[in-house]
Amino acid sequence: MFGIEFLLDALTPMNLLLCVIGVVAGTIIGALPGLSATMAVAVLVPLTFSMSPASALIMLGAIYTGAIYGGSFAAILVNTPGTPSAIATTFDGFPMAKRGDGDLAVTCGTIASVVGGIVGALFLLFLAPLLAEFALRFGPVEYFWLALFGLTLISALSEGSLLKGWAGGAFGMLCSTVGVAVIGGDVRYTFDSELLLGGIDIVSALIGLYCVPVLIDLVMTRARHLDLPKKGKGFRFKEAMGLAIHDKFNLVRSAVIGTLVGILPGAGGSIASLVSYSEAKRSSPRSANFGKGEPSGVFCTEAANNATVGGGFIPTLVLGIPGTPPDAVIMGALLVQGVKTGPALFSEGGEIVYTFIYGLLLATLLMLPVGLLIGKYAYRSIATFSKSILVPVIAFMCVIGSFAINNNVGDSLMMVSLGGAGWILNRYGFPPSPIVLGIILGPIAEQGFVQSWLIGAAGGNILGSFFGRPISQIIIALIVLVLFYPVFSKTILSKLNLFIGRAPQ
Amino acid sequence: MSKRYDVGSMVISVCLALCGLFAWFHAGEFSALGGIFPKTFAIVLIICSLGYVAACFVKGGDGEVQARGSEQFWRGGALFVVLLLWCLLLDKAGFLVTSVISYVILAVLADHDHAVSVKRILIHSGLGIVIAVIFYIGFSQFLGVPLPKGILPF
Repeated sequence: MFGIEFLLDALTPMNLLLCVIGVVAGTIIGALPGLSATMAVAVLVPLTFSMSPASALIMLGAIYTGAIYGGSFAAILVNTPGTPSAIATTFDGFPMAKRGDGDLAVTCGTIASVVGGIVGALFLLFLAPLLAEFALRFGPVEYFWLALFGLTLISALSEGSLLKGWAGGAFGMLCSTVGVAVIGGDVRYTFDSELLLGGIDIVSALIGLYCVPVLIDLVMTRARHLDLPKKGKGFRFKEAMGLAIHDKFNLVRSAVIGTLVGILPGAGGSIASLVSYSEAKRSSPRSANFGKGEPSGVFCTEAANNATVGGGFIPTLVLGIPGTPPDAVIMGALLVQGVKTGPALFSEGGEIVYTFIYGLLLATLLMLPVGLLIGKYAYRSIATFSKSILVPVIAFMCVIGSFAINNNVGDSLMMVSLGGAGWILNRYGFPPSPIVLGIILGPIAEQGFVQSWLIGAAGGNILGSFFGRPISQIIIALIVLVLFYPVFSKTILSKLNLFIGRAPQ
Repeated sequence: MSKRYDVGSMVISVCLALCGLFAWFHAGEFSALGGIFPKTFAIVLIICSLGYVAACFVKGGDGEVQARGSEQFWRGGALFVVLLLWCLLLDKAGFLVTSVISYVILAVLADHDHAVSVKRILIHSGLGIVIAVIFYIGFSQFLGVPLPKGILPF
């Protein structure tokens, strides 16, 4: 069923070449802030029209996986997520680069992306039909609780005062309500401005809140942007592999979380990486180091976001429901090729599907040499370039990146305005991450809430609609666990200590 | 020991609370379902912001923000203004013109080691033109992003 002949089909010289081209193109586009994986796939789709369906899919898969991975470069080196999936990579990746461990952070990110990509592709290969059924059980209420689960991460992201973190999160949630409401059509907080009708775009908010404060700080001081590499001229591969092996459980768990979140249509890499970051921080013995340049923080987020690639293809190929926006573009390309996705695809179009999955695995493996090479030179360039080149070039990427989202100057203006506000807030201890979390999760939570409320009201059982479904109950239990884990762990530890006759620590 | 109030954070918190108050007030104009989220999070924002201010009075806050080395705030402010003007003029003056001018100003602002001279401005202008053209071709030709032409014919 998962025959070697399909693997051999994927290994033809032409497919290998397409894989390399796809990974390189995707990585470069993904590394530019504002240019998302969706754009990378959409822009390069026309190149695949003249190819055979399997080769076209292999190239598109390579572009997609490369773009998700490429987002980590900007996150690590410039503190700006290249793609929304790489938000959580900034938390520890940038502090590592700042102290001169950028090469190690890039290598850790590459290894984690490869592991995540492989786990996601293996789930796609072996468990696709089974997991697609699981995705169908997710209704609006489950999305609502999942978004609230993501919001519990604010506690983890709040450096210093928790109240400041929650205030930032609430501010982000309020920002997410700007524009025309998805359900009901209320026009909210637009001040009669057309610019605000479409709401605050997540990518321009990301660029503004993360990148502009970095630029402002860069020009205000004489200090270097990043410390020069600490060690030698290599990739620090051995060191990163040692850390990865030591952190193998975190890597695999994050990859599985990424795959499962990726299966849920609309959830995407940003939620996957945030949830896996929260879980990694909660369970790590070095949780106090998270946010200060802990390699485990890079491992978990990069493993999770690259695992969403394979996970997202599960509902796309099995059910014909795209898991993420790039999946939707790839599904369109498949239709152009005459391939119809759906339950029968695996049995009737096995040749194409399995060749594609092996191609995805191949592209993931190719990310290792390609990513290490690009990452090494990117880090050394950014660490050694003069500020008088670095600042305007990053500013270029911010302005064009935010403009390119909708070809609209309004997004660039929003980016700069949020950047200025973000710099002031950050300076006084209101970190940008809770605000961004609110902006990302706000629409998911609100849509899920309103839909669930309407469904519950129509059925005459609103409480049952929110609390009665088994998957909802599991997520609610997880929320309670995450929120009260510090209390639980202290109580249980002190009881254990009493039991074994040791004084509580 | 006397308490050190984090005045900056307290001012920001009060501003956020005012934002929350504004959002809550206007949420009354929305439909019942459209107003639930804005109202809820406006209240959370007000409670957390004022809670922080109250905590500052009780516990003394996080202390004043420490200056990070020798900072030149005017450079940061100027960068923000340049970015803002760049975006405001992007449609009218075009990508190439605004980008080259912004490049030169930002390069001068970021250069702490050299005094401003005609020679350096010419170097920055040359680099700015090369980089702007690379970005222009890359985005408009290869990625299909229609960058504004403005006053130039291309």
